[in-house]
Amino acid sequence: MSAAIVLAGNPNSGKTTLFNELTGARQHVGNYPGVTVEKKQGTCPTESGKLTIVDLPGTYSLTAYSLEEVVARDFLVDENPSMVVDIVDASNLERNLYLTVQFMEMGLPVTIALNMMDVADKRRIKIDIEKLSKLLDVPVVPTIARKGKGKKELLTTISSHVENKIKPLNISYGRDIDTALDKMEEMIELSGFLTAKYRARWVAIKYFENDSQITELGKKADQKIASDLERVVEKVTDHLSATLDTHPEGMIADHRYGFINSILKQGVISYAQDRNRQQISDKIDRVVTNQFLGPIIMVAIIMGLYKFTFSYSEIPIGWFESFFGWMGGVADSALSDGLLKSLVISGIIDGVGGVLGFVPLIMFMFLGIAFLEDSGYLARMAFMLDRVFRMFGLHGSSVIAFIVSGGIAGGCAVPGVMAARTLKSPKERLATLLTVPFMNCGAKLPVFALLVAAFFSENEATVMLLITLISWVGALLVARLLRSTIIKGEATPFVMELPPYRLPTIKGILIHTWERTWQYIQKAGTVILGVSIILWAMMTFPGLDQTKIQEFENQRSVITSGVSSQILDELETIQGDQLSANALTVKESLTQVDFDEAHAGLKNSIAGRIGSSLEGITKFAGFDWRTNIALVGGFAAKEVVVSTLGTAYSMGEVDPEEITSLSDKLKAADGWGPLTAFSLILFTIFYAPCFVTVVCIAKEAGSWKWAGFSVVFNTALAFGVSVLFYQIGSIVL
Amino acid sequence: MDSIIVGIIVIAAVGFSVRNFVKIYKGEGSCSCREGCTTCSSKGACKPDFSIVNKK
Amino acid sequence: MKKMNLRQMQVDQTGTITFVKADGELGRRIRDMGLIPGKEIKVQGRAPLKDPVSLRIMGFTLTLRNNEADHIEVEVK
Repeated sequence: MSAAIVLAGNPNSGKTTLFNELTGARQHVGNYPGVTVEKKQGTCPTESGKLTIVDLPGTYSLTAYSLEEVVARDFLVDENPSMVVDIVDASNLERNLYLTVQFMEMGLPVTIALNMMDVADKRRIKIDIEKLSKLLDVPVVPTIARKGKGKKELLTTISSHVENKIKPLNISYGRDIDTALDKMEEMIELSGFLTAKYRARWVAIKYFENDSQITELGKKADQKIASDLERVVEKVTDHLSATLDTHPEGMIADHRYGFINSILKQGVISYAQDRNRQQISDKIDRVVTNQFLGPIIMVAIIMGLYKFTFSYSEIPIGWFESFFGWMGGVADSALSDGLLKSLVISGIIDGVGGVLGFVPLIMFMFLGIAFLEDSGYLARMAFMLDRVFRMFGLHGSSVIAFIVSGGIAGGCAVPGVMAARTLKSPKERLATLLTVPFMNCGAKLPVFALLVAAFFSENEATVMLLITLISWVGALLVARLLRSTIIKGEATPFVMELPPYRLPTIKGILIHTWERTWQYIQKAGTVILGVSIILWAMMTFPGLDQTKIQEFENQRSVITSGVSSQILDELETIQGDQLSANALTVKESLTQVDFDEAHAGLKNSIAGRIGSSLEGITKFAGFDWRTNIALVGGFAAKEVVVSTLGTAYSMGEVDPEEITSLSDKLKAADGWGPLTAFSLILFTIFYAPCFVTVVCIAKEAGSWKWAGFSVVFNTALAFGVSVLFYQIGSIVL
Repeated sequence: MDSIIVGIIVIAAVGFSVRNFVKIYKGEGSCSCREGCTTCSSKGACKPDFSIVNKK
Repeated sequence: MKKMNLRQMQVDQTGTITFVKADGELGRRIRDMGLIPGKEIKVQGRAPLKDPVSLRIMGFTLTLRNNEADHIEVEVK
């Protein structure tokens, strides 16, 4: 036997955990409602054959309320799975069964995995599993997904019920609706209206629920039947509102819950204590979302995360730096002077190494964020910030999109853009996905870390917090601007579950952290490496022409011709500090010539010319031509800003034997100071999103117009902010 | 000799990057960021059933 | 017994939903989450800016905005 089954259920019911248990797949377990938007698939070997398992997005219902619901529903209809394994949170049975009932109404074969039995036990909720199974007429298997309990029983139950014939569930929705449903069912069946895919009665119910997807499909399939059905619905609607002051949608939901209640009341469930009594989560929330303490705790948590990240990553970052320094030294002695050596040392080691050097920082940051995500705190942030976000035309769920993009630091704008999908209002969605790129993603992090370490090493965590605040305020103001000008429109309701706090499992967090860190490393080794090599080539060629090289040669001979052969010998044989004073001056002037030559070569290169041509405008923001090259390269991926600066300052290096980190080089370089550094930080926060994000914006917004807009608008904004800061800063300081 | 090796490396880098960007543009490439990022090829690419979105 | 709007309820106050006015998308969402007549709710708390409100219903915690709470009428003891 080989069958396709789907896992479905409410968000936070442990669906993803069970999926991981069954398939062994490593995948993200979030605590925010609707964190899995995409389809996840895996296989599970059983005694009777291989099971293909699809993890559906978590939903509360099967209306067309959100994209997840539509995704889930379409999949169920189109793929016709041999079993729907419905994960039901035992501690929250009543609401979870609401979805179960809808699967059964669709006529799908259902097996209930009654999950979180341990939580239910703790809350002293007793469930008569056999009775539940009998009354609903579906198999029910108790599980504890977090501990992997019940997995085997679940698999056996699935395989023994896969072949069973199922009888669709018909719930009574009150006499008025029932009569109409019977009539509509007949009409639908007679004409074969949408019956190729859907059950007739279900289609009729959807007409009553005013389900946009089905009514539109209906219009396309058969205009006449569709309007006939709509007329029936209209009649009942009028009748209901006249007699009962209600409408069919409300009646249907009431009766569904009524049906569930009637089952539960037959001794299926018993509570030893008040269901709505305070749980530990609620007690925590009292403090954590408190009017005064809430915001303070939020800032403190973020500040604490930065302190933790910067202070603990400092030492390992030092190790990485010395490792790459050592590698540079090895390459220096192993290769003969020439292009290849320059490529290896300046292009690869100083470029990619600069990015890889921040691996410890990234890792610690991800570790902290993984903890926050898995614990359920992010939903509280959405709860607290919803009011603020609404003032700026965004939504509580935008908070999550922001955080996924790096709102705390170290995310990625691509999934952030995707996360905006949970927003129903297209206008809010657009505003969200245009502003999430302002967040400090994992790729911008090394840029900030580099500049902060070089110029603000005393207050690393504070400056990082400041950067975060600036990006949030900037994003909110831009959102406000967009929402009151080009994308005005309505708001989405904010009905959200606050999932109980959960202590994240160490295994989960470590897997999570490692996956992201590994992806960062992989990206440095592939995309960044490729771009670094190209940029190195652009910074090397065409190089200096023969006459220029000759000029520098002449300068050298002028210096050496004036000194005695004894000193020349000394320069050849004796190292560094032991040189006599005379020899030292000669050496210094020689290195000055070397430096000038490298500098002239760099400036004459393709990239140098591009950078210089931009300098005319960027000088107002304090950026020289080298920074310009880095920023242009940063469009490919933001880490490239670091790698390019690494290459550029490595190529003009005075003494290649001396191991200095890039931040030390920047500190010593001309034109660099806290003012320039912060201006560059501001520019990096706001300027054009990276290439991948731009593509995703285009796809998600449905047009390249918005992608183009984000490139042009963001760059203009970044430039404006940087110039303003740099100019005012120059006057004040 | 040096120049030839450098030439090959640079050409390879250009080829790799161009291919990479074309892939991303087509929505197949990996963006190598955190998971949940649907541009990752292993996880179903940047085209998670856009037909569904458009169908509505 | 006193009838009032969900928005007017105090923190820690308990009540029974008597009527849900909202229809359309918001109505569907509210009902899907179990906010239907006859259910008992308890106001759990409010966000720092007094909005949204969090409440407990059927043993879980739900948040909704004040202007969404306006659509829900409750009877409190």
